[in-house]
Amino acid sequence: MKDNTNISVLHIDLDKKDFAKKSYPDLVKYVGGIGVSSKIILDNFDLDPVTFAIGPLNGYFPFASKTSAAFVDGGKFYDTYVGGRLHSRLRFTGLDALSFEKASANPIIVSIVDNEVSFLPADTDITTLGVFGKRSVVSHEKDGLTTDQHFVFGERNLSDMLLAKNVKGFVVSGTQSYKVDRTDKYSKQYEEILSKTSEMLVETGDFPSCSHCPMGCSKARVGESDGNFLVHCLVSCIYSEKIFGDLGVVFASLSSIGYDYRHEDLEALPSLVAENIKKIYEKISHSKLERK
Amino acid sequence: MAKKVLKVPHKEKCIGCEMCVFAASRLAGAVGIEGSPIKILKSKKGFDVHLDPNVNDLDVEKIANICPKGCFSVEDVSDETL
Repeated sequence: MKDNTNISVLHIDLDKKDFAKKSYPDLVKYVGGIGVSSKIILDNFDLDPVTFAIGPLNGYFPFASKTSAAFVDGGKFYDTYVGGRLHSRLRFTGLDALSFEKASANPIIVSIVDNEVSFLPADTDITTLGVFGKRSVVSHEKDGLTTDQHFVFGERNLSDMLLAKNVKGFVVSGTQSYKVDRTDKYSKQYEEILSKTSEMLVETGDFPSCSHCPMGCSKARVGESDGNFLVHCLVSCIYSEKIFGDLGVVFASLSSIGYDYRHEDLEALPSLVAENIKKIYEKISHSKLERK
Repeated sequence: MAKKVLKVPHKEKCIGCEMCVFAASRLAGAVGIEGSPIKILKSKKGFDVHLDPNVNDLDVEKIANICPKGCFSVEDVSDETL
């Protein structure tokens, strides 16, 4: 059974080549994605984190098929999204977020299998790492930071940020599986979401698809950078906004997998996240003043 | 006695969505990739679909039907040929 009472973050200290999994009950109110990432960045601002986060529906429901990345670069806070398999592999590590902190002195590749991290020389063949069938490979390609050799994050400078930390790529393998308490309720809600395929704002196609999305659409390759707060906290596809932008659907989906969120909690999300981002900008201003 | 057996006659149509992987897990009472009798691996030409024989202990019609590209078929095979 997945622990729904905590947000689990794997802090990766690139300088010391060390890592620690920490559980944060107080982050549950931020749900996931940009909500959780903005709080991690705020609380660890001096460590210059680059975060990758998912939301509670990833791995459980179709169209919840993205991974969120967030970072501060050039005095600006960025959140950007990618498709592919990274979200479902991260889900089955048992983690909700990764935080790459500080910088490595030498170029490295990072391999994460569940809660364990290996720091490997940069000349390691990244395609040989991880658990086949249960992994997602994240590498620097000509269009930017890329998952599974195909899906690209919406912001190109994310690649530059990781390269500046001497991270030449990383692999995430998730080998866990979960039970749900009420399989009947979950299965019914799963069918309900799947029946809404016609509400997706993209056409079906024959392109490589994100894990747990049947669309195969032409838009999946390049991730988005703007959009609906709730969708980005759930880290579902922006083209599922008609489905996961509906609080009733989201509430029913979360409830079916054992989350105790109330409608008020979800309604409060935009202001909670906006407050985090405002405080991040205050820290950016403060750090600029300190440098003068 | 015939048994329903899942086949992949059109694996070239696979778009790697893994809907079948998750469906098989769900039918086995779990959420995940670990333990699913279906694996989708990236190949040079697209995707390879790997079936563990124990997939046929599940409701294979449901698995076949969830594939958006019709990669699967279900065949009736007599127990004697299994």
